[in-house]
Amino acid sequence: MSQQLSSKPFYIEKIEGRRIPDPLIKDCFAVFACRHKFCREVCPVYQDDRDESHTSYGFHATLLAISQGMGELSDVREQVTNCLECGACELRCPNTLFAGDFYGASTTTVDLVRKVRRDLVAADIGFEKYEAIVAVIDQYLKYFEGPEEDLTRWAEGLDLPFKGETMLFVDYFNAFETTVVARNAAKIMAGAGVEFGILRRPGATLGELLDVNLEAFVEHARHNVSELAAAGAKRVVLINPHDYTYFTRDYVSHLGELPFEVVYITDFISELIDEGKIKFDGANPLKAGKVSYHDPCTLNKICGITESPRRIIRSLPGVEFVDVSPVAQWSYCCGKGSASFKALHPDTSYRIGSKRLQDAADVGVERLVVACPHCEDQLTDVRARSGAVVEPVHLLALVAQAMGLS
Amino acid sequence: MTSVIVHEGIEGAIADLRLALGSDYVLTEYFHRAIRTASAAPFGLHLWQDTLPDVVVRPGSSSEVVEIVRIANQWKVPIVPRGAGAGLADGAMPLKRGVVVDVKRMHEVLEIDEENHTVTVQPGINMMELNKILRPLNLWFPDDPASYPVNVLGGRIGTGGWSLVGGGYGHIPDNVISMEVVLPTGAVIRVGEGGGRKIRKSSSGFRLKDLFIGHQGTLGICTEVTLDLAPRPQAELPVFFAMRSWEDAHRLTLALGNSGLRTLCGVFQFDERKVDFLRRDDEAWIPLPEWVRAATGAICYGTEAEVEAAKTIIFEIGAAHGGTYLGQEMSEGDWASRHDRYHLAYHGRSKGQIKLLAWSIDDCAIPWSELPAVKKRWYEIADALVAKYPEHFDVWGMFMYTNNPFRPWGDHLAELDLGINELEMTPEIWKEWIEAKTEIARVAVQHGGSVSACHGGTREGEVNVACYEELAEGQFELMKQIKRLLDPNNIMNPGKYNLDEAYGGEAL
Amino acid sequence: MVKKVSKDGRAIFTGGHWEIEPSLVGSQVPLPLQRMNLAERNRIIQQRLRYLDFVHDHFADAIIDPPAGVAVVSPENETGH
Repeated sequence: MSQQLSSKPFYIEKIEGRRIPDPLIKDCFAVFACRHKFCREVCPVYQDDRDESHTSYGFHATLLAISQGMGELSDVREQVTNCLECGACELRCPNTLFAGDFYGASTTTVDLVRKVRRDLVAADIGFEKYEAIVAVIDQYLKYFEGPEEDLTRWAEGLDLPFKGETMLFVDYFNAFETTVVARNAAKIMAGAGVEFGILRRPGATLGELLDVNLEAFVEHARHNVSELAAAGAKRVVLINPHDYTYFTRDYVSHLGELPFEVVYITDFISELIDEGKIKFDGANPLKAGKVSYHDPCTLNKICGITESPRRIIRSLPGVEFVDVSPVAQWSYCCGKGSASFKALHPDTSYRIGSKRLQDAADVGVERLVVACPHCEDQLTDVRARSGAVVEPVHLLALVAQAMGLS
Repeated sequence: MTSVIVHEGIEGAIADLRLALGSDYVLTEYFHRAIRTASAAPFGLHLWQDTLPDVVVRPGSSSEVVEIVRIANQWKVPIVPRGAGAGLADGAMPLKRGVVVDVKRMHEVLEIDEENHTVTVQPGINMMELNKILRPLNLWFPDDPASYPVNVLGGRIGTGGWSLVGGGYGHIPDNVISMEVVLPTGAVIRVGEGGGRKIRKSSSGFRLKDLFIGHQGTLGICTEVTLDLAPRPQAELPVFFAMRSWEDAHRLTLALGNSGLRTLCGVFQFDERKVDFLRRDDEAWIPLPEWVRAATGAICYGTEAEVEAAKTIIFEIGAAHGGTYLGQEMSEGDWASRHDRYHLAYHGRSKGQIKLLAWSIDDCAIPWSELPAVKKRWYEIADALVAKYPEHFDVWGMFMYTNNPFRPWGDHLAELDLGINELEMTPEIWKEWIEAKTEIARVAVQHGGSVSACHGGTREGEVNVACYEELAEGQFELMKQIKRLLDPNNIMNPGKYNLDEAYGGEAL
Repeated sequence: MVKKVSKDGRAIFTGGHWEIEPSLVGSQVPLPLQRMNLAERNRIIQQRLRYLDFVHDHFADAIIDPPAGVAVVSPENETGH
């Protein structure tokens, strides 16, 4: 794991009306100056609507135009909702990909889109369908205020302690929606002989908060870090790649270096395989047939973790793996987005997910392995609605099955 | 600020456009229009509001394009076709405001004919995406410009684009077989080699197809295109040689061009100022000894057997002309990243400052024998500009590439790269910049060259050299007559190429 | 001072920290200040290397190797022979 610091302190100053802060003007010009729009063909939203106003160039050029007297903040309340926050554009931008490491300056469209949404909220303008996002946040924050038992009900019967040098952090989406993923992770870790604990009262790790209320996001971040440290964590295992981006990037940006190491579950399982603690001895061959792997946007584009899931799939008995390069998958997405997109644009979200399942069908597979609870939830939903043949299956389900745990 | 153009009929046009296309595809918000104003050529931010289009339309079909053109004629408002906006000569910039016609919704592949080696597509498709679709069929549309990952076909045709592998596979004018074009009157015409959709060579009728390639969107909008496809090559070989001087690099280029190798698709040179720039500025630069002053590169595509055989000859010629191989990592790495490394906004300067600079690129076509003289005069102009305005301009050196379609000899695309500080530009400095560009263009013409090998001659300043000097032997006069014939109301990208003169208007 | 060039040749380790050659780290940065640490720089480098590997595959399946034993320019190769 690496704690990746990449932040633009000048994003804190709010855009108001027609006034764009000076450093932000330069930042937007850095993207505008290219005008070739590498960010376009790689963007899953652009692939669907072919509207370049919904690209990294579009968002940056808009703010630059406002600074030159054309338009104002309230104009963008609908435009700014058309972003999955998947990270493809900011990665593909030559400023990042070819010079970001050299000049220490990169394109940060995801952070920019989040900032603009927050600035609209702060200006009492909000963004299109903002109420739907607030409703999601309110629903989840109720859990934080509610009984502890609710927050750990997913672990019923697993007898997990609330402390440990290794802590499994289970976010609300896994705890309440994709509970099987959390239980499989716990069973796999226990089955590998890992001693680990969980938190009694984990804080919220909602991407929606980054779109609406940064202070609340940081407050919960502080809570999570201090609770995990208090529980004795030297190492924290995550099972939601969105959380992985928050812990290793956003938390670092706002709270400084974390007092523990953070590892994504696929990297952890890969280590356990190397250490001989997880063995697939063929006793439980999966009749999984031909499978491909879907790189979650956050894990692939934002964090660059692409090897461990593939390594695990290749070592599963009874699986025929048809790989699609993670770089090709920079332009793919399940359609959920890293937070609010599905609620903001359900039709586009559905079409993007449909396209993903079709792309998998085109490489001739029956199953699409996913490593993200949001991808699994979204693609399952899309499949049910579209009647697509390709079936999404979570990597942890396959691992648990191969270990004879399920 | 100059006064902003107002079109009387624009409100009426917008209302009719909404009826024809639906409100979702007729966009009047500031940001939709601001995003589609600039091309990738140097942009005067102080001119943005003046050239902001009145409305953007996003048609989804040929019939919608016809409707748009009809409405523009009815209300006498300009229309400006736009593809990727990655063009480098401001063809897509709406000089007189009006209606920007963004064709990118029209991006379908309509037919692939494997036996006859054609693909028929809509103009909004990107070349890299097209090749992804063709790859499983072992076919390739061999068009490889700098804009390959970002362009769309309509713009390639509007500019008459050039390809890095054109010395082997031809350029856009050679690889477009036939097109459907909506004329400025709204009439729809089919152009090609004669009348067949898939005929590559015909002597039936006039060569009308050529009119609609490189016209910068002034003569019509193409709505369907049939392209020539090559078999996907088995093998690739990029070879870069380090040279002790640009003169050596230049001579090596001639020798490679004369090699007779059929798999040789292009030869290109980095001059000594470009190598200096890369040393100073390029984050990917692997440290090299001081004696490396210039470079010559060659690219081969073909069957493995042919490319293997070509390899021996290329390396022999390289060594015989004082070239030392730059190595596999640099050759393959530089070739692989050729589309990606030259659009960076961040640039280092020798005093340790990082500046945000946009990219200015001249693309004159120059006979091989004239390159030394042109290079010398260009640097005199560029260096004078930088000496006068060191915070606003930067010299990034030159590339030269073989320009002849299918033949790696003859004339070269001479590329002068400059950095330009758009963010701190003033109208006064911009004016001097235009004068410098005009001089640069004039030098090309004076040495028997062309103002533009592939971007177009429509940029402010150089357009006057193109029209009144380069094309002074009757071509510009005929251009005006053709423009007037095809576009009686002057609605199709007006103001470009000084073609307003055809209507009694004034030159830019 | 120990000088080591990173595997992709893009950074030089000079005993205490990585510097990007030529050194542009300093006070004269008239640009927005972005905070970026080494881990983030390395992430970008890794993504770029993945991208370049992928993009090799574009027009042809095979890239022909140079002739065996051909002289190559290198920093040590001062005279170019």
